[in-house]
Parts: sequence; C-alpha cells; structure tokens
Amino acid sequence: MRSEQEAEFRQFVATRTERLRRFAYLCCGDWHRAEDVVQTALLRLYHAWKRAQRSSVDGYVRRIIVNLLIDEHRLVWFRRVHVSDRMPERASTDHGPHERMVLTSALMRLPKRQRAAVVLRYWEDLPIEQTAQIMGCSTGAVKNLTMRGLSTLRGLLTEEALVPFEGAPS
Amino acid sequence: MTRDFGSSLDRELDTASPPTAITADGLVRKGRLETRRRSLTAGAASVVIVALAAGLVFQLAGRAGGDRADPAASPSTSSSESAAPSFPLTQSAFPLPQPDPDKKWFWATVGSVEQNPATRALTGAWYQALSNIDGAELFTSDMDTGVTSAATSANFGPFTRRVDGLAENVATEPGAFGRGELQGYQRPMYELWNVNLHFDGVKRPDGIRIEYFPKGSYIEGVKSIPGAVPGASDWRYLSSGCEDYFWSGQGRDGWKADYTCRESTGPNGERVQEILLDTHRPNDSSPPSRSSKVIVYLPDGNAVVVEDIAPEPMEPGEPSIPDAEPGLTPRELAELVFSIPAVVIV
Repeated sequence: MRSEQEAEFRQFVATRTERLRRFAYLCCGDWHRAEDVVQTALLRLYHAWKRAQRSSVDGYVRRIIVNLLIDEHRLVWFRRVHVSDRMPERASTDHGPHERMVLTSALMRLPKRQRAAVVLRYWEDLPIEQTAQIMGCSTGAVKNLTMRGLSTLRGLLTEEALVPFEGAPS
Repeated sequence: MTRDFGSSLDRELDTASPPTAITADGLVRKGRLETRRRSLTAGAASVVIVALAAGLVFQLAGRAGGDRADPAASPSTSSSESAAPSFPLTQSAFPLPQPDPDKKWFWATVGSVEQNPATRALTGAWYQALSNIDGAELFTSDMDTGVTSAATSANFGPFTRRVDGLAENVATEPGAFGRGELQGYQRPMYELWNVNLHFDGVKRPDGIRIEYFPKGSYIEGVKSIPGAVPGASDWRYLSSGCEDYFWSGQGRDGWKADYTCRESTGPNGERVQEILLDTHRPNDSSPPSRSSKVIVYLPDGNAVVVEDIAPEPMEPGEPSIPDAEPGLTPRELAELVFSIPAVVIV
C-alpha cells in the first residue's frame, strides 16, 4: 500500500472505529465481541483498501460486521468469545443505573436480524436499499424485519420509557 | 418512535462504551505482516512451479543428449516423487475411440486416486487464486473425515489425478446408469472437488469443482443426454447444455433444465464456453438450484471445467435461500483459469 493510501486508511480508522464498534455492539450486545469483529473487518478493509471505492467503504465494513455477527454458519468459526443466548431481563422502570440503558436493553431482546435491520435503518439512518445490500437480503425483507423489530420494541418499552423519543401521551 | 431513536441510543452508549484497544498503528502493523505472509506463500507456490518447470527442462535436456541412464542409478531417484514416471514436456493426446454406436457409454473411475507434481502445482496455484477473491472466505473439507475448516496453504484441496475408463452403460431406463464391460479406452484427469467459497451475505457456501481434461479426450462443445437428469452430459462432451428441456424420471416430474450459454475468448486465444444452469422444480416450493460453469479450451489442447454451485436448502422443508445465486459468473471463473499456469496431464 502506498504511503498516501495508508494515511487515508489511518484517517478512516481514527474517525470511524468508535462508530463501527458501537454498531457491532448494538448487533451483538457484547463489547469484547464487537471489538474483535471490528478489528477483523478493518483488517480485511486494509487488504482491500487499494481497490475499495471510498464512497462505499463504510457499507463494505458494516457488511463484514453483519456477516460475522449474524450468519449462523460463521458463528461456528467465531470461537474467541462465547456469547450467551439468554435474553436480558425486561427493561427496568426503576430509577437507577439501569434506566440509562433501557433502549439498548430492549434492543438486545430482538432477534438478531430484526435488531440489525432496526439499527441500520434507525441508528445508522441508512435507506432500505443500502440496508438490504449490507444484510444480503431483499428490500421487502428489510421492511418486514424493521416493522417487526419496532413492533416488538414498542411492546418491550414501557410508556414511561417511550417518552424521550415519542413524546408524552396527550 | 423512530424520530429520536438514534440520538437516544447514542446517549445511552455514551455512558456505556468502554475504551477501545483498536488503533490505526496496530491495524497497519498487522496488515503489513499479513501481506508479507501472503507474499511468502505466493512465492513458495511460484518456487514449486518453477522447480517443476526446471525439472522438466532437465529431463528434456537429458533426452536430447541421448542420456538414458538407468533411473535406478541416478541419485535423483532416491525420493519417491522423482522415482515417479517422468513428465513429458508437451501434452500427449488421448484421442477418443469410436465405440459401438448402438450401445450406450459412460465414464467409470478406474485405478487409484493419487497426486503428482502437476497436481501439487495446481493445488498451490488454485489456492492462491481462490483465497484472493474479494468478499469471500475459502473453506476446504478433509478428504478422509469430511470435516470442513478454513482453508490454508497446508490443508487446501488437494488436486488429485484420476483415471476414467470408458464403460458400457447397460441400464435400460433412459438416463440411468448401469456399469457394463470396460471398453478399454482410458484417460487421466485432474480434479479438485472439496473446496467451498463462502461469500459475504450468503447463508451457506458455494461448492467449487475444478477438472482438467487432456487433449483429444473430449469433443468441444456441450451436449445433454436425452431423458437424463439435468446436468448429465453425453460421454464425449465436458458439459451438458445449452438447450432447455423438461425432465421426468425417478419419481420427479416436470423438472426444467434452463440453460443460458455464451461463447467468448481468452487473452491467449482460449476458447471459452460459459454456461448458467437453473434447474426448476415446479412440483416443490424450492427455488431453482443454480450453477455457474465455464469450459476453457487451452491452447495446448487441454480443457479446464470450473463450476460454482450455489447453496441449496440442506434439509427437506427447510426455508429456501432466496439469494442462492452462484457467487462467481462464468466469466469470472474463466479469469481464474487464465491466471493458472498450464500443466501436463499424464
């Protein structure tokens, strides 16, 4: 890799790693695993950097992350960190430290593909087409997954918890 | 709800995100290390090929000088590999026979499956070519245990040499096979069948099959067997195709073999036959099974067949895979063939 390309790559890592790590965490609910997956994805990007179109680099890395985290077959090979399949408890309505993570906790209770679709659409703010491209499925499947995901989230969150992003009931 | 979803999540993550150990310096250092390792592996494969070529040149020089010393007396015959039958520098032809046209014929495997210097050279070169494909991971299955694992230069493949013998097909049902007497004609071939490419975003890996056939042992073109299962080819040809047809047999009715074919050429005058086959099964709910195939007729007379078979549902009743397209097009398969050094098939 030429020095100017390497500088571009370093710049990308410096500016995007935290966002990618959060994305991976929202998909899997485990910071260690998120860190591993992002590192793997960025290393693959390093080798593809010469050929990568800068406009699509973000999508390329997110696609690797989604594949590594969601694809059942790949999970067989991903042995470094074991992640429990147990669902977190229902989001607490008590005042205290848990309150701050109420939305994240609810998100973690969604099935993996629904969660990824919701995160890509409403946290990464990606259009349906790009979400479908990253998840390797049809746009119809994305609509389906996000609709079901949001519906489940509504069921999981208490009215009180919904207030910050839906407004108080009139 | 979705209006402030992103910012609400970010506020939560601001309080929960632990520090990261990922640094640009660390990634670049590891990336460089991996690049060097890949280069070394590629270099080692090149050395094998060069050594093979040098060995052939030495053999030719020996023959040209009339030096036909007893191989047993030569120090170079001490290893089992150098004691193997010597490699000719040019490809010998294996012209097809013209057996009784009133009988049916097919290929039966005869003799043992083994490796030789050419199959080893192919193993190294194809490992490099397949592991460099962007957006896919390469896997290989152990030939003895069937266990699949990520491919490395050490466990990949390998290519093996097989000998096909022409045998009479004594089955009476159209499209069925029953082994009769061997006709006597034999041809060697090299094959690799135990590798998979897992493309990003696809649920299961594609199966990859690669075959090398020697000069004269086939007729250029494609031809299906009337009444046989989709994909089965006439014994003289290297592939079925390219006319669509319906097939019924063995309890299955109304299957359709749907071919899309194209001919093109390679950079060194190779003739290329590109074939896409969709097998539709109208009586069940599964999507068509799809394969992408190429036949490359090389300038030395040999032919290479490479097939990428898209994954299918593994169990009856399992949900279909909507995006089960082969990861590589026939042209991309042909480009891979062009990048592989030619070998002699013996």
